[in-house]
Amino acid sequence: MKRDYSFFLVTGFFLLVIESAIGDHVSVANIRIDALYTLIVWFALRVPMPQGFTPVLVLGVMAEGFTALIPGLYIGAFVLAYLMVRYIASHLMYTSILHRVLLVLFVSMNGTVIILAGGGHAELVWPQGVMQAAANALLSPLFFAFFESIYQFLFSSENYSSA
Amino acid sequence: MPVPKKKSRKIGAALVAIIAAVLVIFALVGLNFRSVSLLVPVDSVFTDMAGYFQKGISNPLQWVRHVWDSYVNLRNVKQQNNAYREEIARLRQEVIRYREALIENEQLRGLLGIREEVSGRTMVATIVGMDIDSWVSSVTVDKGRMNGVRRDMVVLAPEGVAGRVIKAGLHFSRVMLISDYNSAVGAMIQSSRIRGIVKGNGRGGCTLEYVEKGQDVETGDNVITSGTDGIFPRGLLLGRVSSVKNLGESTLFQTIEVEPAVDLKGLEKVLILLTERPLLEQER
Repeated sequence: MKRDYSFFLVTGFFLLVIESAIGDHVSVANIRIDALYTLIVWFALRVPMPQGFTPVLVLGVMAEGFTALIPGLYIGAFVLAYLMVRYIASHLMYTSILHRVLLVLFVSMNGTVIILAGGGHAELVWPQGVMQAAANALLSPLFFAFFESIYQFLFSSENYSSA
Repeated sequence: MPVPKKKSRKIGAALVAIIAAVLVIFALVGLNFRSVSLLVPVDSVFTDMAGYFQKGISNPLQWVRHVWDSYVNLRNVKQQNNAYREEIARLRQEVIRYREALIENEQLRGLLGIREEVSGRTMVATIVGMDIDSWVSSVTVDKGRMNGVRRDMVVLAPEGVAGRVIKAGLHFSRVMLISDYNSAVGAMIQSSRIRGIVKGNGRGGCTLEYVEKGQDVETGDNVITSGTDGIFPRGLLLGRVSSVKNLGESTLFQTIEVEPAVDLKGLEKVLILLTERPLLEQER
């Protein structure tokens, strides 16, 4: 479980740095490549409440350092995304890739609404916010595979030895 | 049907966890909103940490961009050189005229006892990162409290006003650009002295608001700071009017689009005025 936390926080911080440093250069009409919600869904499907709550909270606090938005929006958006995925996951026996993509779409949409409306940009929810959520969902299979492969690469020997 | 004891205990634990989560979020947000925030040191650490990493990423990126720009520039360099020579000759003449005007202006200022609006020390800062939210126009600069930067200091580019400092870490600060949706600057039309407020539209541009219908505003008019907001000194160039619309009879004000004088997307270096709340201090 500890390696899940550390992987989640290190990857989250890395994504924050990358997105804030080069995000503007790889955006189309303000729609960026954003893998943070995919990471939260990936983490929420692995780590249940209450253990997973603290790392998500920490990622939210870290994200606040990368934005000029009023305090609390990223913390709220990330924690709510985690809680929603946990609630939905508790009713599922198995999550196919389609389920995961829909979860990313769902939590991205919620997060975008919180951030845009809370930041005073409510009129941008449609269509830009929805397009950002759709872009997150469409790219999520790539990021799920990326997170999974990196995680396996980093911890595969440990898995093998512990088994 | 009665709920099994084990399940009810689980539901109870989940409820407690959710309530605790909500309380923690509200506590964090509440602490952040207080003027003397307990989270300021934590926030400052993350701002600095973010700045260091962003600087590490943006330097190689800028190098690649410079190399590419150099290559593209070389292709047309000969034609451009000829054009630049003509331009330099014209500009030299213009500089001589401006020097004369400056001397005349200084004499007039001395006579009228008008103070310099922009005074005090300035500092050059490099932009090392942007906002993670694509709808927020803010940037991180590599100067912080250790360099004398404080909240609400004015940030300039050679062409005009870029924004103001909204968060100062130890070594890095966050600057809200004038194109941000939450940015508002007291402004006026330079020629007609009509006052309004320049607000960011969140899409890289600005609008001049609260200018009544019938007021004489033309496309191409310079928009400058009016100094009425207590943050920006008077007379700094904000941008130029790009369009003026009068939407129907039900609205009181004109819809005036302003194109920022500064290329806010292409900013690399900025100048920070190291004077806190210049106008307020001057008026005290």
